[in-house]
Amino acid sequence: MNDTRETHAGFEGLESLGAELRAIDDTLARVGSIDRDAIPSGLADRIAAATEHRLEASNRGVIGRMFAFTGASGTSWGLRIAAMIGLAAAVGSAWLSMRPAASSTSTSRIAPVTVAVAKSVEQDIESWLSITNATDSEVAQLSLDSQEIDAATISDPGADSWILDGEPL
Amino acid sequence: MFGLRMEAMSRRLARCAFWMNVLGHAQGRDIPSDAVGLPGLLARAAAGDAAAWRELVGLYARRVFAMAFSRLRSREAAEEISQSVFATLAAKLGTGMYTEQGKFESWLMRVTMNRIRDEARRARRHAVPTDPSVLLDVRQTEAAASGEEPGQDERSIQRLREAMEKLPDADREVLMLRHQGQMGFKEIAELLGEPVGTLLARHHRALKKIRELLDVEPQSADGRPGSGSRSAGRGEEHGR
Repeated sequence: MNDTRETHAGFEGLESLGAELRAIDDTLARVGSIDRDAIPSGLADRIAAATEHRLEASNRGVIGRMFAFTGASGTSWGLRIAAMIGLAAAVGSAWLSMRPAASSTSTSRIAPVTVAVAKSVEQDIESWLSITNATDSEVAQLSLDSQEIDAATISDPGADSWILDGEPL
Repeated sequence: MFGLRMEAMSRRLARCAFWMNVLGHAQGRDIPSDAVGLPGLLARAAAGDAAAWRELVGLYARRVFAMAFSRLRSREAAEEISQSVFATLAAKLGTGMYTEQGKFESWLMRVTMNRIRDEARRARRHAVPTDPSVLLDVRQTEAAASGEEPGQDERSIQRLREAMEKLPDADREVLMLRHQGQMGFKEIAELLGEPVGTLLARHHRALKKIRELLDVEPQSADGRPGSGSRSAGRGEEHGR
């Protein structure tokens, strides 16, 4: 990677810099070239070999691949959005499929408790029904009694004197 | 008449060359000349292509190393920083945390600059002050061992390095990014988050500071005024 061609395009065209500063700038460019050439031979290869595993390790991950660099920013964002929608859909469907299974599991766990509660409620309802039946029969008896009283009153011979304004009681 | 036209044309060409440089198209840089090459290379490296990764490291390792070496003057430290920068790059590429938007070089150099700053800070904290007379003695010993005086060119470069050391960090970084990092002004401006005009002014100011530093007459080893004054950078212009 030795670039023997000199790299520095100086200040051509910038007249305000002046010859002295241009010369300093050119010398700085030579210093830069010397520093680049000072790199130990084979260092770039050694660095590449030592750091290569980081690329490979990172690329094994699904998420890392999904969000991997694509080289063009527009395409990259499109793919990222699509990947995010896909991921959200997968998570949502997985959650929905898990939901009924979770509820049946909890029902089986509390079944004995539910049966006991249901039985006690049934007993309460039966006792309430028996109370209302008794009340109904008493009300019916009272109704019969009142009808008999009415009939006896109407058939009484002295009842005509109780007629007010032409209408019997 | 013809001479005037030629002069005008040469001025236009010079302006064009300057703006090409400003916009980051300095000739002869290590990066691929075609605009499609780098994104493609990055994409292949990100997908785990070992050959592409080696090529990418090969393209930028010299520049990363040069920046670290220029600042720290230690090969070991420069090697460590280079490896650390590319390890970061591999991790970012592999996990898709880096998205290429045409600013790869600025991003890489920013990572490099940050590592260099950290290392320079760390080195300053742990530095043991050295007696200047010891350094002088070492130089004299080396010169005696080699049996020859260092060349004018080497002295100029050495003085220029010393002047750069005395610059404020912000000014020195601009020069390093430009000359060791081979970046165009536009890229440096993006990296530092400054307008190109401001950056050009700062670069100009940094060069003027170096000139002022070189104007200060140094004392040579035998106590006489050094002959290197105003030679760094200026002696070369005769050959241009």
